[in-house]
Amino acid sequence: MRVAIIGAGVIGLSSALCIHEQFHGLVPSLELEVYADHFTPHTTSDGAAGLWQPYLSDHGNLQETLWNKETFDYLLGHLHSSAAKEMGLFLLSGYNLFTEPVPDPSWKNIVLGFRNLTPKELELFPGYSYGWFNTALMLEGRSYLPWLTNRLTERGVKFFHKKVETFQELFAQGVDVVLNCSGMRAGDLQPDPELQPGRGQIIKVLAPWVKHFIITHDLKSGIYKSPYIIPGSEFTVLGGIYQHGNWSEENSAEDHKSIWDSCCRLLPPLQKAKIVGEWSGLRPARPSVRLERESVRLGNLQAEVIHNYGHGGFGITIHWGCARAAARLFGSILQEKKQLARPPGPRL
Amino acid sequence: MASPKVAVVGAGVIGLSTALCITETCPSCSVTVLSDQFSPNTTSDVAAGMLLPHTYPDTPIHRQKQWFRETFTYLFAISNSAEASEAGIHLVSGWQVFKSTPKEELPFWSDIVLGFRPMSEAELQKFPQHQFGQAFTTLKCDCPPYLLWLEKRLKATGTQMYTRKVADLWELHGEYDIVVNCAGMGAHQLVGDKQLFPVRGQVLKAHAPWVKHFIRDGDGLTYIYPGIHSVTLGGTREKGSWSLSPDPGTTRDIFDRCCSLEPSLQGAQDIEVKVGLRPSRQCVRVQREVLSQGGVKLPVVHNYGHGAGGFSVHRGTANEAAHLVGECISALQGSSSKAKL
Repeated sequence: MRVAIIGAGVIGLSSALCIHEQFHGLVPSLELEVYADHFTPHTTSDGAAGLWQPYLSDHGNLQETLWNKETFDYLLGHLHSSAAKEMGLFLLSGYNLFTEPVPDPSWKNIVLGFRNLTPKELELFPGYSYGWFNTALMLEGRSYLPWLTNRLTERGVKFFHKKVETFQELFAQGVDVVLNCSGMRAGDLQPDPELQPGRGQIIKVLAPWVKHFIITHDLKSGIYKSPYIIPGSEFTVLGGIYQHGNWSEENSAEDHKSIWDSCCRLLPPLQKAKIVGEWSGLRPARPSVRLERESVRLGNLQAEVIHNYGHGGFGITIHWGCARAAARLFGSILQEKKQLARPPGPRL
Repeated sequence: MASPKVAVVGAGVIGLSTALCITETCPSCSVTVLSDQFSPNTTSDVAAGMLLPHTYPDTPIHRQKQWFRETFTYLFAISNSAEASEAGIHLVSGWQVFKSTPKEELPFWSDIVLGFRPMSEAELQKFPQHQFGQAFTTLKCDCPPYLLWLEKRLKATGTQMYTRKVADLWELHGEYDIVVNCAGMGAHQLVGDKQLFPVRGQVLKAHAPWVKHFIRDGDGLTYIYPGIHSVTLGGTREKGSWSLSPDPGTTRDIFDRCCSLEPSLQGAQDIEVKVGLRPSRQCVRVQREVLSQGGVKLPVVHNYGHGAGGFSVHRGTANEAAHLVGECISALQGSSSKAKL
């Protein structure tokens, strides 16, 4: 049973690991192969700061809230393991700031210690009159992806540095199931007008005195269009750009100025921070995550694709819940194939 | 008295902040800092610099609270300014955890730090050996940066600083009009204060930049304080020990205790060991005294004995000491005008 995973970002690698963990014992012939044109550190997941935090509203998408919770709980369980440092996993507390009161988010009981900000805390952030404090998790892609790669390699999963042009080419090679975790480029494999880039740009600085994330919100503009500061283990990420429909992966000087000025206003000590890098990436945005099976008829064969893409700016936040859901879909495929594999006997 | 000459003995956080307060309250004073040690070799450089008050048994609580409030307010303003990184001042959040619920669930400083509240059940799960905890956000003064920043501010006011071991306060008579004794542990010998005793603290400074929260065991013995470039792991409270030599067995013990609170510390690198003697006293001595010898007088202001709580109250006690210096100046001016009659 050959399974090909297209995409080696956080979604592709974690889905592969989840499937291998659950099924390699049950399916002795299981062979997993990862195909990608970009591997760590050149994937979208590597550029993300790595903070676990869903969007403010789930828009009634309870399924996604459950997947977010599953991911948080899974990561929290690994916090004290010896793998945590290698995974790039650690606790991080911080502030979400608003210019007016807002309803509590769907994830208030998922994170730790969620509470409103006190008046004294708000003094730190002139211009913001309301906010939250909570403890969440950081999962840095630059560490997590190599860790996933190592776990997969240990399990005999093979990696191919190749841009897959069509699902068909994999099936023609004898692959039985394809896991489509191609993120932003899913449209190249199968047109999906709902998938659009949510372009982001970030500045990396050295500011080791910053121990909290600070995320501001402008409800009129939308998510990620307001400055944010996220301290990692090696550098701090400054951001606040979300451009829907912009495919450019070039750093923009105008965006740089916007990020720098707004973040320094938000946290004046940043004026002394040393800039060590800049990056632009495309959030694979979609009204909802596409996580579903698709049967593809190829001659007299039925081939299966499991789609798992469109995680926007919350891929890391939701990845494990989605990986497990993808694994369940894979399990149902296996069940059906077993039934199909039983030869039709004579009707007595 | 046109330009009173004030000598401040000691260049730790107390000496430097007191000298700075004096330049602020008495701009006409000429202030000189004298110390056998300067940063990075002071007791303050070993300390983590956390704003987490120590309770002095014989100082009234309202006075301790006032000192802490003044210090917190002063540093809070700097922490949110462009000078924060140079001054080494930053906010840090975390948890104080207790193996059994303490008698006093609300310490006197709980309304001064930010966001103080009991920990939730979910948060306590991270600490299986602990039953109760408090979560809050406070400030940290990293040393050497904070001391170097104080030195820079002092130099800008024209304050001179000299490396000099003062063996006796009377040495300074004639050269200076008022002496401010911020000698910390040195006051034991300098003024013969037998109520001052060392509480030896050994700490480790480790590179573990993924640790973003402080964790302190309520017993005060085990703590993890993340600073700008290193995490301070502690510690010990050895009353009466004068030894400044690191003890390897203690190092191992501190590391193990901290790893049991924060397992990821197993991956910490570049571990350095340091020792400091907390200049401890039942109450902080912030007091005026006029020394007298053979008809000659020497006004002295004492500001020492801060023990484990130096950083937490430094600005408050510095303000008080500066105020006492002001009183000394008034007294000198009063007596000099009397002498003219």
